[in-house]
Amino acid sequence: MRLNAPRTCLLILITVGLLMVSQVSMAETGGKEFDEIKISVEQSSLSLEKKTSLLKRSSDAISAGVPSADIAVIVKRGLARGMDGRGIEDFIGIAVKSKEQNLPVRPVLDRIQQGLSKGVPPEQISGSARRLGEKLATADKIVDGLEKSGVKVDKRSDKENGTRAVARALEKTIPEDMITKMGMKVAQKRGSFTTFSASINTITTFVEMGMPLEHASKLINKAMDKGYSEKEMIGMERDMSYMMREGWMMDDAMKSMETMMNKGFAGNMHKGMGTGPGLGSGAGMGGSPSMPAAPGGGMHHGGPGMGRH
Amino acid sequence: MDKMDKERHLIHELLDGELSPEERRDLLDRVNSDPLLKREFDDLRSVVDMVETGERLAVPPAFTSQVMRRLPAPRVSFRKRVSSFFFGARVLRWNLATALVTLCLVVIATGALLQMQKKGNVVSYQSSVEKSSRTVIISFQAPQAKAVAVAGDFNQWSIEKGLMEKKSDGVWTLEVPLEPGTYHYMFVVDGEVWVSDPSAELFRDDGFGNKNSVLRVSL
Repeated sequence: MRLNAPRTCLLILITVGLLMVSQVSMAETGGKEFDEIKISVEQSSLSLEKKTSLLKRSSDAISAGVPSADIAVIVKRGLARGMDGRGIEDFIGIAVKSKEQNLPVRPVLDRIQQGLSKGVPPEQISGSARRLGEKLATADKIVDGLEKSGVKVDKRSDKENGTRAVARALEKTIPEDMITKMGMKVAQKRGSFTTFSASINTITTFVEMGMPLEHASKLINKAMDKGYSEKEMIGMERDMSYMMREGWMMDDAMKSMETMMNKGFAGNMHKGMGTGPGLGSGAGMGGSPSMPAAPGGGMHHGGPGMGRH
Repeated sequence: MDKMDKERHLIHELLDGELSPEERRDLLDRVNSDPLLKREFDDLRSVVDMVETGERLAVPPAFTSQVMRRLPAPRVSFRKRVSSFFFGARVLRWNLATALVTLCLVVIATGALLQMQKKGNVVSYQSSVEKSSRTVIISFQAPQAKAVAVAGDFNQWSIEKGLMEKKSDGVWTLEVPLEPGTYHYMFVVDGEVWVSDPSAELFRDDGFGNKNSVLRVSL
């Protein structure tokens, strides 16, 4: 038998067709998670019309590329809280909108799931998630612009992390032009989105702690001028957090940090500042050896049995 | 070889231009004097003229295979036909259009497969965490609590998935496998009271007015 070109093409076409049909089928059903959604919806007290509508919304969201496991969590948690089907559909709609805009959908899903778990009123969750979606859209444009201006992308996730960091900053009303200026500074120094995200996250944390924006900006710009790495930026956040917990006044903490930066210490000030007895008497295990651990909780890394109580 | 054959052979050599001028002259003399030989010579020369002046047709591609295909097919058993279908050698003829179509299909198929893989990863999120993760032991001291859970973005803020185990000293613990990265979490005491980890190094607003604790897992 001779295999001619049209026949080969036909065979390949059939194979590709089968692959695509199975893919669409997988996306539409969402596998195990969609079954869970169906069971939860069918067992709920919603009217038949609302059940059908919610299932369709879920299926459409999964087809749009929102992870089925996350949709399942939202539907189940929403129903468990006795929410109306429309409220849950609204949450799913916010996630779908982010996905359709090609924005990172994880932060939006996380916000919704977190709000549902923490017992936040649905309207507040919806408002917060929607605002976050809007900030992500603005952040995405800023990050795209910075990439064009020369900020390097080292890893595939770098841009997404940058978008998340900028959205977080925008939520804290850090002005767009300040963020862009910081990005341009990174671009001029041929820096990457890793450095940019670290800078933005640190300035946002400072603002969250109550530091005036202009002071936070001054400190971060100084750190950028000195070429601080991501690790050193995180160290700055830790230092500031430590000083706040120790009861320092914000003015004193800022001055202290600036002084230490001038002296060349980068993000490890707390190692020389601690006055506590070490791990403390509670269960806490976080922090460096010189930092007193507060009673209560704690985390440590490593295999089982490594931690000390 | 008889005389006529010899003469015919010489005529062939003459027409092919292989005879010397002397041999050529002798042969032409004999041809002109012998009517039979003359006829033979004229016939052969007209054939040579026809070949030289006639249009040359190009052999069509796959001429041999086309001829072979027109030959009556031999009777072959079903078993042999099946065997030939799977194991028989094939000749695949290509042209640019076929190559381009195949390339497009390969690209589409690869894209489809990658997309499927991507979706598959989402579905198997839980198991992928365990592949290359390191264990983080989370602990919380609450001797009076009846139940403590840790909920965070690593378990979709699920209280059920983050239920901790109480040790004899009143410390609740849970081992969580985590990839390197930054995570946010809170403790949930008795299923309803959400508290930040007092020993966390960093806190971040959760978007609802509370502070999540921050955990960084590095390589």
